[in-house]
Amino acid sequence: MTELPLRRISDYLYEIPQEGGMLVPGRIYATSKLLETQKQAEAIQQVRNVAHLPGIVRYSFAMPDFHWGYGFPIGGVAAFDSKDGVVSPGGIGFDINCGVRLIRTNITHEEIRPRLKDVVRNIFHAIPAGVGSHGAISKLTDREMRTLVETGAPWAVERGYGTPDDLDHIEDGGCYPDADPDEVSNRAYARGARQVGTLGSGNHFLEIEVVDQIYLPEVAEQLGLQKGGVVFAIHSGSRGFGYQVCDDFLKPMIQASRRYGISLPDRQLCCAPLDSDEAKRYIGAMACAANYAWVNRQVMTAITRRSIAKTMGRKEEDLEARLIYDVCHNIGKYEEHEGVGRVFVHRKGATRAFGPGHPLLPPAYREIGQPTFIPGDMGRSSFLLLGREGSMRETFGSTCHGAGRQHSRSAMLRMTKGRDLFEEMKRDHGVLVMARGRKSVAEEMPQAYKDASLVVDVMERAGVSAKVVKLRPIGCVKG
Amino acid sequence: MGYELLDHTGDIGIRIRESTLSEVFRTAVRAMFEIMIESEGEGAQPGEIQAEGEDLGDLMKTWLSDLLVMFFIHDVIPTVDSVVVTDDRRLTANVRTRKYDPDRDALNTEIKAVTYHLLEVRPDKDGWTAQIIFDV
Repeated sequence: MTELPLRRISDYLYEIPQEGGMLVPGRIYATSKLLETQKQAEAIQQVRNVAHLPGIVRYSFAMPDFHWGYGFPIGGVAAFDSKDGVVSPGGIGFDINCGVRLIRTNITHEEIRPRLKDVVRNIFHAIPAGVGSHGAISKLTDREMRTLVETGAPWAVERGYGTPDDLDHIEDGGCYPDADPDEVSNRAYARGARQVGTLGSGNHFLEIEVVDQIYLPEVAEQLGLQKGGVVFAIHSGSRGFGYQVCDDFLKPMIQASRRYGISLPDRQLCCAPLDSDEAKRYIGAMACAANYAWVNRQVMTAITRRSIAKTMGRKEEDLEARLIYDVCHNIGKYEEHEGVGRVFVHRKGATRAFGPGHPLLPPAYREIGQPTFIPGDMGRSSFLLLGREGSMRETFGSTCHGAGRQHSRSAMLRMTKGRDLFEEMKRDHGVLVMARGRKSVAEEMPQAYKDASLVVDVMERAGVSAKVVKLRPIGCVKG
Repeated sequence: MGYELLDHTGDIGIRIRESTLSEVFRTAVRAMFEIMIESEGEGAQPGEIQAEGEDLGDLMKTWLSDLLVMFFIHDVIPTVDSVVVTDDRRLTANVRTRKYDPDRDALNTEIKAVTYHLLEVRPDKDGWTAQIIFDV
C-alpha cells in the first residue's frame, strides 16, 4: 500500500489532506503511538474513502480507537447535509445500535467480594449469552415483534423490565422516532423473535466493575459513584435482527448508488441520497433495529438487577441500581449542529458525547454534559466520560467507543494456545470470567486490544470528553 | 483442494480451492458450518434449494446467506450433496438437513453475516478458487 500523506496538526490530531475525489479532508484523532501508520494503512484509506461521499460536511473523522471495518472504518464519524447528503449502512454497521450502558449500585467491593462467584454465576445462568442462544423472553409473535421494534425500550419497561426513570437515561429515550416495521423483512423478524434478552457473542459482555479512581469528584457524587462502589455494564446490540436488517439493505443500496450516479471508492460504502425512497426505507428499518437493541439492553438490565439482589440477599429497590446512561456505538441520526444546520450523523464504533447545555440531554445532565461509558478490554480499565463543549465544535458531538482491536481473532487463538485463560484472568487481572466457550475468551483476551486509557486521553486533550471515573473489572459474563 | 481459514482483523475468512465450480459452492457451505459448529453428523432430511445472484460472487453470498438464515431461524444444518451452477448466476442444490442438537452440537463461533468484502469466485490454474469473509 502506498504511503498516505498525513499532516500532523497537533500531538493528538492528524489530517488527511483533501485531494483527488475527496470532498473534505480526513481528521484522525490519535497520538503517533496509537497511529502505527503501517498497521493502520487500510483503515486510514477508509477514512479517505468516506470523504468521497456526496454531501459530507466538514471532515471524515476517525476516533483514536479506529480500525478497519466494512466500508467505513470502525471508529468513524461522518455527517451529511440533510438535503444533498447520503446515508450508508456501512457507516452504521451490521450490529445496529451495538451500545453500552452503565448501572451504578450501592453495593461496595467489600460486600460483593465474598459472593462474587455466586453473583457472576447467577447472572451467567439468568442471561442467555452465547452463540445461537435463545431469548430470555419466549418466542414473540409477529405482532408483538412489530410493536417491540416500533416502541423500543418503553416496550420493555411496560412489561416490567426496568423503570420509567431508565428511559430518561437512554439516548432518544430508547425509542428511535419513525421506526417503520413494514420495512423489516420476515427473515429479520424470525431471527429477532428468538433472541430478545440475549447478550450475544464476540466482544459482547456483561461486566461487574469497581470504581477505582475519581477524576471529577462533584460529577461522580452527582452520579452516585464512590471509590470502591460496584457497578455493572452491558455491551450488546441488535443481535441477528440488526444483522439481517443491514444485510437486507446492502443490495438495494448498491443498486441505489448506481441509480443515483454515486461513484463508490469501495462497494461497501453503498449509499442513497437522504431524500430518496431507498434512504427513508433503510432508516425506517434501521430505527427498528435500534429499538430492538434498546429493548435487549433494558431486559438484560432488569434481569441483572433481580439476579444481583437475590444473590446478595437484598431487596431490589435497596440496591439503587440506577442507569447512568446508555449510549449507541453504531447508529445514524439526524441532528442539529451549529454552523451546518440539520445533518445526518453516522457513528460507527463511536459514541455520542454532547456537551453541557444540549437540549436533548435529560434535565439532570443538561448542566454537566452527557455521560458516556468507554469499556476497556476484559482485564483492563473502563472509563466513564462526560461530553465537553469542545465535542460539538470538533466532532459533531462524538467521541471514541472502546479500546480498539489490535490483533485478529485467529492471531489470538494462536497466541493463547495451551494457556489456562480463566485462571490467567483471575490471577493476573483479578477478574472472574464465565463464558460458554473458551474460544470467545481467547479472542477477547486483553492483549487483543489497545489500551483504552490511551484512547480516552486523546479525546480529553482534544477537549471533546473528560474522564469522570476509572473502573476496574472484577467479574465478566461472556457469550 | 478444500479450504483454509484466513486471518482478517476482527472477522474470519476462507480461501477455497477446488477443481470444479460446483465443488467450490459445496465446500463453502461445509467451511461455514465447520467454523460455527463443533460436532459432525450428516443430514438426513432431503431437500432442494435454489439461489440467484448478479454474478458468481453475489450468487455465493446469497447462497451462504440463505443457509445461514435457515440455521438461525429453523436450527437446520445442511449437508450439500450436489450443486449445479447455471449462467454464473443461478444454482440448484440437493441438500440433506439435520436439526441442531444442543446436546450433541457445540456452537463455536457465531457467523452473523456473509460480507461482500474481498468476495471473489474465479477460475485459477487448477480449477476454481473463492474467498469469503464472514462477520463474526
